[in-house]
Amino acid sequence: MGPGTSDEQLMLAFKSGDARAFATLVQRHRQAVYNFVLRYVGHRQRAEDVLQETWLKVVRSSGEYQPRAKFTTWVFTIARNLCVDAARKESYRKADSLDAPTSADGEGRSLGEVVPDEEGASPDRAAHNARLRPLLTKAIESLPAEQREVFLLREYQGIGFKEIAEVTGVNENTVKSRMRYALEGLRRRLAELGVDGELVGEGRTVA
Amino acid sequence: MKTAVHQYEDKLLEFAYGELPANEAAAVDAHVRGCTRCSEALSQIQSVRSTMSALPLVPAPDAGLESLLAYAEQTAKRNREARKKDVWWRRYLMPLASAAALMVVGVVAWRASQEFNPDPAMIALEMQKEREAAQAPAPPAPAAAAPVQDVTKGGARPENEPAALNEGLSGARPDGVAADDSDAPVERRKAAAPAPRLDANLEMAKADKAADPADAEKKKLGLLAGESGEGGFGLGSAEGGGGSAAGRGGLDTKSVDALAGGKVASKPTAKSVPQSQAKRELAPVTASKQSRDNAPADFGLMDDYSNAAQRGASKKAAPMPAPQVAEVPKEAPVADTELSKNQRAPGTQGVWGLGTGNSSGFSTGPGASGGSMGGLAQGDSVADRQEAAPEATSRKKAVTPQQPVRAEEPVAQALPPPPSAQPQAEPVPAPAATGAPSAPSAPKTRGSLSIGSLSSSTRTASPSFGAEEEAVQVAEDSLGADRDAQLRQRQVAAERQKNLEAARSASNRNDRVTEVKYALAVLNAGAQGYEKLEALKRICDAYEAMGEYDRGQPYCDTLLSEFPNSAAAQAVAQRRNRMQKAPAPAKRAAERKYEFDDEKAPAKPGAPAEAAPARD
Repeated sequence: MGPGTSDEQLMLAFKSGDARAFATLVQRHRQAVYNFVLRYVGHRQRAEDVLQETWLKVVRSSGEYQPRAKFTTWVFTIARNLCVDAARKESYRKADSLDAPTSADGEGRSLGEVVPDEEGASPDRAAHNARLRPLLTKAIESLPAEQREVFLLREYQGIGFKEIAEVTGVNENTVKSRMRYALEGLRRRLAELGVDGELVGEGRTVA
Repeated sequence: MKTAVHQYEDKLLEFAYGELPANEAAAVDAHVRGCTRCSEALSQIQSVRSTMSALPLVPAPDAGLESLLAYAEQTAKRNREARKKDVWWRRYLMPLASAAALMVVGVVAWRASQEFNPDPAMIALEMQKEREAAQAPAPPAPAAAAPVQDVTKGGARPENEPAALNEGLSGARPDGVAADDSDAPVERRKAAAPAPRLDANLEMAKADKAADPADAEKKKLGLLAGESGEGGFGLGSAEGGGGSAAGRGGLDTKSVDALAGGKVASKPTAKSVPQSQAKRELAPVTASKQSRDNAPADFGLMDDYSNAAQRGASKKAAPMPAPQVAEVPKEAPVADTELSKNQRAPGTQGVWGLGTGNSSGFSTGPGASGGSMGGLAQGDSVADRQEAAPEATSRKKAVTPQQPVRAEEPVAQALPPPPSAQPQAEPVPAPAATGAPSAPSAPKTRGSLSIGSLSSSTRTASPSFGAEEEAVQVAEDSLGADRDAQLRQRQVAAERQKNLEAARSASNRNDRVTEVKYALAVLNAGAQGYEKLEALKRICDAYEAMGEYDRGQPYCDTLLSEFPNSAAAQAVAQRRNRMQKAPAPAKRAAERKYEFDDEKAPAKPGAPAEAAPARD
């Protein structure tokens, strides 16, 4: 199983009984799935649970896997459905916001603040990002779920609109429309939050 | 213009994310450079994307990763095992399934081939049945208007019609001459080939008759039917109403047609009585199956029998003509052809058909041969008369007088000997060249009938036909009553035979009551000779078997008195001697029973009260 082996081949190999193929798949896509889930559900602990459940479901469903679509499409479909379920469950209880202090850390820092900085960034840059991330996270949270999932899948996971349509179960034009609404909403929200895109690169913020 | 701008605005998103094809991307890029609105829209998208890109990826936690991989390992192991099972399953199932499918296909194909490849004999039989079925429900059209194209025309004849029948209908002449009947009927009849096989059949049947009069008829008919070939079967089954009669009818058809000289096929315009009509004509005869089956195998009287039967039928139903030979339509151009068909109709009586067939064959013979030959065919003479006389008259004349037949006995003896009287006689060869009628292929059944027919046939050939015809008519009328009486006697005899057979069957079943019933019926029917002996013996034995000695006593006495030398009488005498010495156990038991009843009788007055009303 070399690095050039496609996800579908790895999945078929795992279906045939090759556990290493599954480990390779996990290594390839675990972080992407986790970030999608984390930004979708907005809660790290629940995100970890959803991530674990997503891969368990991949394992359990490996017997029925058919390479009709890309593996990533399949995995994110599973993850998205689990996120929807988690969001429904969370709607019955008040969820902690990303701005709320995380109990895990116990230090009163928000989720956005605990996001690690880029390696090698200057101290000013790191400080700027530390202030900017919660605003970006807040802007994402402000999006409706259907726009948020489309934006997350396209912007951070690099999944095309056509595949997003398969993951979300809507047509491609709807996905594009949601994407446009999401971008417009983010731009407006970032403007409200005082984050100017042009200033982001310069380390300046409005707020 | 605005529409074009919006069109590009819709593609700005894909352009921003690089999902457009190169050519479209270039076009959008060119448009964006010249369009401020689209340029602003694109810049906004890129601004948001650049802002949101500042949000870095969060590394996934390792919590649960080991357990996940362990679970995946177990699952992979199960998948491997399942795959092995699947391989084994598929390895054996697929060949088995393939073999089963092949077997199913083979069986289906074999069955299909069996269904669509029936036995040729069965095909012929089915076609024969279909033809019979098609002919059976034919409308009861008048005989005069009935077409004859079904048999007489070669083209209309079914292909599977047996060769024997074809030969009998069309080519009985060995010389192959198929002359038109209207042109040279005499020659053709002279050239009619004899039917030695038929003679042999009749002789054998006669021998059977001598052995057992009751079974002789059946044996004879069965033999004749068997030797008559396929031709006999086909027409016979249609005309005789099926069953064993079919074979008999077929024999008659063949033999009669052969004797008639094969005129039918050579005469395309000839009309024959349709088989449905023949069946109707046969109905009176066949209706009385009992009398038919048990009729004596008297060849010479068969004509009389059938004629009388038909006469009886004509009494029942007015439109039903009495003699079958008289059913020949007046329009029939060739009378003997019609006669052949008519003779085929009563095919249930093979002998009858034979007799008339002979008559037909000889009657149309030249008058020179005279007296011996032409007179045989009463039917033909009648047919000839029909050409000039009304149908009703011809029917009446159809009855062949017997009295003149006996008067000209010597002439009849010149004919081929009747099988009943001279079993070893051989048919006279046909002198075709001389113009004289060939020797009758089928033996004349009885000299008396032959002679009787002789006169009419002679008249047929002679110019003074009218006067002789009237004389014959008077003679026939006078003999009608006698023939009816003879027919009744035969019917009664047949009834006796049937009852006697039923008594035998009942005896075999140990059904003594039924045996006595049928035996009494035989006695009441005026049984004589061995029939009476057997009936008496059966009644006597049955009553003794039932212990009713008193009831059987008179019959036993009659048996002893009338047939003292018979074995049955001797057996009865021996039994009586034994009974005189020692009473029969049943009798003793009966006596004891009576004594017991006498002893118990006084006790009845003392019986309970509920018995009193019974005594009252």
